[in-house]
Amino acid sequence: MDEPARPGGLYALFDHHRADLLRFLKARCGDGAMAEDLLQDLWLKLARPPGGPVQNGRAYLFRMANNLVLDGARGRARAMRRDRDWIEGDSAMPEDRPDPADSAEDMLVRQQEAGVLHRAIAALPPGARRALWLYRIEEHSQAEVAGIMRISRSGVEKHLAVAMRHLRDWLAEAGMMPPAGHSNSKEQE
Amino acid sequence: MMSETILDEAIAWHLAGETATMDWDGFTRWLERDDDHRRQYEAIAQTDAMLIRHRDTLARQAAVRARRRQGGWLAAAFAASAAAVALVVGVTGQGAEQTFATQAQGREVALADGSTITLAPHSRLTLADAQGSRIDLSGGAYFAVRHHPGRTMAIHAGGLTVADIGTRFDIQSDGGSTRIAVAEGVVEVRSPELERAVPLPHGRAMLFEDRAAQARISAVGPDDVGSWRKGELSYTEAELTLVALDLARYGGRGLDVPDDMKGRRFSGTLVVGNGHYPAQDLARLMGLALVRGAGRDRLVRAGVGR
Repeated sequence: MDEPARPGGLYALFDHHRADLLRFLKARCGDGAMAEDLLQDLWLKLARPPGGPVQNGRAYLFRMANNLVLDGARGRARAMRRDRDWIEGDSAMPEDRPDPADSAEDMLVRQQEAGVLHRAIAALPPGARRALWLYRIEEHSQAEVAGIMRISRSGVEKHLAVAMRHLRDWLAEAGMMPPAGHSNSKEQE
Repeated sequence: MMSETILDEAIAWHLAGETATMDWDGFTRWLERDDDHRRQYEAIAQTDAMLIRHRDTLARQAAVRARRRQGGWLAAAFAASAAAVALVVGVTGQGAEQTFATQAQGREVALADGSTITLAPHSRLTLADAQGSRIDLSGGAYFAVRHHPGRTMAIHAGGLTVADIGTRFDIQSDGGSTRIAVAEGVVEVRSPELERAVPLPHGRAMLFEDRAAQARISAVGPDDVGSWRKGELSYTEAELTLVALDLARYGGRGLDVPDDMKGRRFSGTLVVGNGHYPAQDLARLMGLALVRGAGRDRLVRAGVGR
């Protein structure tokens, strides 16, 4: 079966792919200094064993790097700080800590987010809603969703694309994330 | 156009990112090609991350909704005449539990301590005792409550309990949702579905939806709180379904909102009673048309064939 992940193996992979990972991080966050910091964070995170077997160590490292950018951006943009356990196969970042001042305001932010998501999902076209629900809430793979809905993989991708775009628009409209682009990249009608 | 294509590509990269065949180097090159690529991808990734963070909540909401589907409150059989809120004043007796139920006219209920409750039309209020230590409400009511240290007053409406009261506030509870708006002072809102008690100060309103099992807080003008008593319904970004519930209660006619309009929001003030036809005003303000039925109306898109 899959080789159980060993931190030592990931360190070696990290060293081997360091340049590619840094290039990716620079492209992903658009900031060279931040990319260097995130690469350091990534290295620190390797001390924690992955949650499950790692089939493709290189892809695993890229996914971790990608999640670090995502999490960093969220932390900066929203000053929101908890619930990081969604980071794949991992529990918490080194600098993460339980926030004792988890205020009622935080709870309300979460509830507002959930409310917008709930309504946005309810407003999706049925196919996109079903595909998204199976994929994201019931955690089926895209292949499984295709099987359940009896449609092709590309059909699933199309549904999910519709759903993602729709949710992004709703969240942006609700002010829960920055608009998709900055001022110079507003969508042209 | 350009941006739409970029967005499609961003979504495709994002979805591929979870597969074993993801081309991370190709993705890197795509990101490097244009700053907008990065921004569009980031927006999609953040959207999906938020969805994943709320996965459990959303799943739970769906379960709650399924459980409660058959228990929905039916807005049926409203008087066809417009219902201005004429008040009948009653003072509660001592002792046993009392229930007040209104039809087309609201009424006022006075508690032993001088606090007053203005009960809306088509609403029902049960007092466990004359002190109002426990109050159950379905429908609408405006509370002007005197504060007594040491007294506990709890109002149960929908899935919520409103407590710690010495204040003026309005509650509307029906159709699977409960709204609380505070004009003065502060109340504390509790629910088994909320993680903790939520303090709601004056100038704030909470919308709690049973099916979603979650609350939203918004600002409200203190003068708008309980404005139905003056024959006005004021909204800021309110969902059409809630406006429709109010029009049934205060405007005297049911209003059907088609599914595809349920997410739409309304801001503005509608006048009810005295010959006004608020559903017609609502339709006009929203650029929609109204189809009249017997006792109920239905919103439709303007220009759509009847």
